[in-house]
Amino acid sequence: MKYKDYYATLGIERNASDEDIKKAYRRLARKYHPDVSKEKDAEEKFKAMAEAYQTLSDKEKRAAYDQLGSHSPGEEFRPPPGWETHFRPGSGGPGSGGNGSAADMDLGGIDLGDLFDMLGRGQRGGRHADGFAPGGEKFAMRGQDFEAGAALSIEDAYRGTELSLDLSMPEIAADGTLQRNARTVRVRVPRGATDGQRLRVPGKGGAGINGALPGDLYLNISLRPHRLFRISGHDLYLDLPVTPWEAALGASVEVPTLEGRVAVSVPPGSKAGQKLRITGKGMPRPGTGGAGNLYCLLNIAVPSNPGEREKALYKELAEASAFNPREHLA
Amino acid sequence: MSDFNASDPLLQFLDDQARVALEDMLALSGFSMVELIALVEHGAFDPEGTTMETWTFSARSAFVARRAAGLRSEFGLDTTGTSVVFGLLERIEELERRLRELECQLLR
Repeated sequence: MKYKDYYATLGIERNASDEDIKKAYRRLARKYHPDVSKEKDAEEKFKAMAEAYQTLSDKEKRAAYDQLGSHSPGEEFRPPPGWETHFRPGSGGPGSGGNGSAADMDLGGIDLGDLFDMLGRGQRGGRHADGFAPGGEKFAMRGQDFEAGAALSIEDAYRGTELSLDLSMPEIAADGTLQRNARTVRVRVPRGATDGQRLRVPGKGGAGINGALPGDLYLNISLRPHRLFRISGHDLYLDLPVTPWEAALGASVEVPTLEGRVAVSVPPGSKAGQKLRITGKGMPRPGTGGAGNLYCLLNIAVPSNPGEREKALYKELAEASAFNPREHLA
Repeated sequence: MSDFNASDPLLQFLDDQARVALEDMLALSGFSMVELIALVEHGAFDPEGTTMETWTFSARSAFVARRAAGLRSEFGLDTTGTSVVFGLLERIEELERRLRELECQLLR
């Protein structure tokens, strides 16, 4: 297990008072909290200081952390024998029950923050992280919930898809040892997922302890940018270039949708930026049987290099027309 | 590509339309029952349902509440502060949604 210097993370001395710790944390939280900070790497810095504060602000955890001694950040180390008695007073220390003494655990893949977090979780419930209550009786604890991001293409979100996610979860094994487990979780994403939605996947979070239910997995869904379509909720937007004469005279033009091409009628006298709605050709709305709309945004395109004949016709039109689009500016 | 119309009924999209019961709200947000009741009394949440047993909350608000609960712990906020933070986070989320919607309508 690699050592982390929580005191250095918060910029305080090892003998800092509780008040000093709180002040240092609040000062840094104001600077680096991802919801209020514009600093580069704010999220990473905030996670490190929050982990440090969670341990140092809790008297028992701080005492246990201090027992680990002082090492260089990143240095490999093992907790001294009997270290976990800070979390299970009266247990008699290592060798008394053989239920996963921290000094005996395989801690190679474990992060120091995970260790304090899991030990703290056991403690808060009045129970211990190894799955045994103080009297030696087994208890059940529901597994942890996890969140993961899932970036989908618009096509996959439209049709529904199956994802294979490689997750790394800190879990307590049946023998009471703490392990970081790599798990591949397969999730079926129903059709109609859209940007910013969360999908709850029951039972795919951390394993429950002693027969308790596993936690849930929450997928934060985002949609990757698409070459043609932009998405807002369940509606799709498409830029539709039309010629000046199509806009002026009206036309039937073909547009792509997520399920093939359809003809859309551009009404005579259409303006740039005007929206044409194609009902029901947006993303499906799960559970309703309905769907959002596809909106075509008209863009009046002008040839950048018109030929001589085209120029002549434009000039003829300019002379023949009394149309003044800037009348209101006069 | 297969079609997942008939997907696992337990899967649930937690979005503007979805409602969650009190138990789910507590699990999703990380607030305790006492804190949640205090926040309802402060007007931060406006659950549907006449009694606590029948309260439901929008799933989206549960995730905003989760961020508010994080800020409450991280900055040591009291109930009033948490309630204000929740309101501001909701407002930010709504403005960001509106911004995304308008950006979609801009010609490229």
